[in-house]
Order: sequence, then structure tokens, then C-alpha cells
Amino acid sequence: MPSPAFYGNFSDRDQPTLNTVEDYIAEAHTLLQDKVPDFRYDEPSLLIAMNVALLEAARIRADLFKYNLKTRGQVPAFQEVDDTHVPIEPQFRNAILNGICGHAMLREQEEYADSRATAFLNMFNQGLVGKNLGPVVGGAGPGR
Amino acid sequence: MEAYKGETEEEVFKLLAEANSVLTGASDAQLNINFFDTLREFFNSSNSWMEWIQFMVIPNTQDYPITPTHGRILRLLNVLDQNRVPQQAIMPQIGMVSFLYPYNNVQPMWACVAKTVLKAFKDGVPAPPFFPDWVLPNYGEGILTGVLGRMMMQPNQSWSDQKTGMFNLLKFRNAISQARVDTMRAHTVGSQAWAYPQSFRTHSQKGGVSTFNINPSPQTVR
Repeated sequence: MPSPAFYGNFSDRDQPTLNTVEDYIAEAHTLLQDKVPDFRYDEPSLLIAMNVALLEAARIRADLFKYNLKTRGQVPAFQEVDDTHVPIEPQFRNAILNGICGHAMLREQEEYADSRATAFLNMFNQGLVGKNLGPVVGGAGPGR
Repeated sequence: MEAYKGETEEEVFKLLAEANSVLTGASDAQLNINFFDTLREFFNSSNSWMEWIQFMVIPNTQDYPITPTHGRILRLLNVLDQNRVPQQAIMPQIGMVSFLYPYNNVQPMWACVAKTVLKAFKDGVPAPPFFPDWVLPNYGEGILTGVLGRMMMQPNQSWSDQKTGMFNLLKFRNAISQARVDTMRAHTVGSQAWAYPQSFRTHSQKGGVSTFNINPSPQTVR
């Protein structure tokens, strides 16, 4: 009898961690310290950040998307924050999350935010094509 | 024939899990595609996956289409008549046995073909193809080195490792050679892939395939 920590039919799709669009957006709010409405990073902008992160992931790791015969290798794009499954192999989901946060933080102007955005984007890149994640830098910024 | 139920599934799982453990950051899709390509190279270079396909020869017809039960035909290895005598035949098109001369009477014959894997996808995503049960138990280690070598030779990936990749590809070529020799010697030890010297042979290669040298007796009356 497998541990109850395992889910469904043991396929990638059944892995509940960062499974849906909602999961990614909620976790992005957590990492961006933006948990209280009205959100600084609203859902439409995070949705765009997610779609952009997926496009960039397809550029540097084409194998994650291109081998899907049914979709002709198309990169998915999401229009709503809902429970739609995001078809990414589980081991790369954290990288996509970092990509969302990095892209979202690019709008900031403070120095600490620049370095934090850079850290997120590096972790995104390293999560996809590197062997290990780099250091998280940037601090929390003044007054936080 | 599987030694026990689910053996092939276990062997595939073992191979892909081993490869995934070694190749940091590799995706399942990429591993499956490289597994397919490795099997294709293995079968193409070793001729180890064979099938005897029966077909009925009729008078005044020289071309006969044949279809394997699984896989894709690569090349024709041999054609035997009902007395197990090799016949002169070629395969100008894949899947079409073509005799050099027509026959006068109806009789069954058998074409031996070398085959390779057919489908790299299942339900639209990369998945292990169909292949015979004996492949991974016998040559699994070599095929694993093929998958690892192919993956490691890819540039600019977290699993790239040219030096180890070259080592693995060399081991893979050894596995292919082993499979080719095993097949040629019909999985025996000490026997020879031997035939009469060309000038003494009863069937020349000019007439098409003439490998195996099964039952090299004088040609019977057709």
C-alpha cells in the first residue's frame, strides 16, 4: 500500500503541487509578499507573467512543449485564473513559478527589487537548464 | 517471451528511472524520445529483431507485399521455400518481396525480415514503443548507455557531458556489435557465421540476399 502522500494514478497530472493556474498565482502572491487585497500584483498581470514565463521556458527547454503531438508543440497560454491544469512536468514547476515572480518584479524601480527580480529570473533559468539554483539576493527593501 | 508477467514494463521503468537519475534536469519527454531513437539505432545496426513472415507464392507473380505483426521492416534477410531452401529475392521497396524469376506452382514461402521500432508516441505524447521482450533483459545495459550517451552529447543542457557521453556511446556500439554477432550466430556459443567461400557457394549474392546459409544444399526443382 503506497503512502497517502501519493496521488491519483501516479501520473504527472495527478501531482497536486502547482497543478493549476490558481496554484501558481497563489504561490506567486506568497513569494512576492502580496497576500492582502488589493493586490499590488493583480491577477491579470500575474497571468501575463505566467504566459511569458512559459514562452521563455519553451525557448530554452523546447522539449517540455514540442513533443506534444496533440497540440503540435504549442505553448499553452492562459486567459483566466481558474483550476485549469498547467501541463508542466512536476520537476520544472518551481522554475515556472520563479519565472512568474521574476517577470512580475521587473516593473519595480527600486534597486533591491531589481536584484530580487534578477534572482528570480536566474532561479527560473537554472531550474530549467542548470544543475542547481543560485543564491537568493535582494533583501526585503526599506520599510518592510 | 517474458520470464515473468510484467517483466518488460519493469525493465522499461528501470531503464528510464536510471537514466533520469543520472541526467539532472532531463524531461520525461526527452528521455522517451531518446529511448526510441536509441532502440531504432540498435535494431538498425544489429538486425537483431527478426520476423519470419509467411506468404503464398502463385504462378507468374514475382512481387509479394508482406506485413509484419509489429514494428517496421528495415530490410530483407532471407527467403525460404517450403523445403527450407533459400530463394533468390530482393526487396526493392520496403515491404515488397520481389523474386527474380516467377514460379510455376503455388507454394508457401517465408521471408525473414529485420525490423525496428515503429511509434514514438502514445496518446500524443512520447512513450516507449513496442519492442520484443528479450531486448532489455539481454541488452538493457547497453541500451541504457545509448540513451545516456545521446543525451549527454546534447549541448548546453544541465545533463550535457561530452566526455562521459562519448564513453557511453562507445559502450552502446559494443552492445550493438554483441547483438549483431549473437543474431548472426543464432544465439549459440562457439558456432561460426560460416559459409562456403563465394566460388563454391550454391547461392550467390548476385541474386539477392543470401545470408544465414541455412541448409545450403543444391537447389531443388521448383
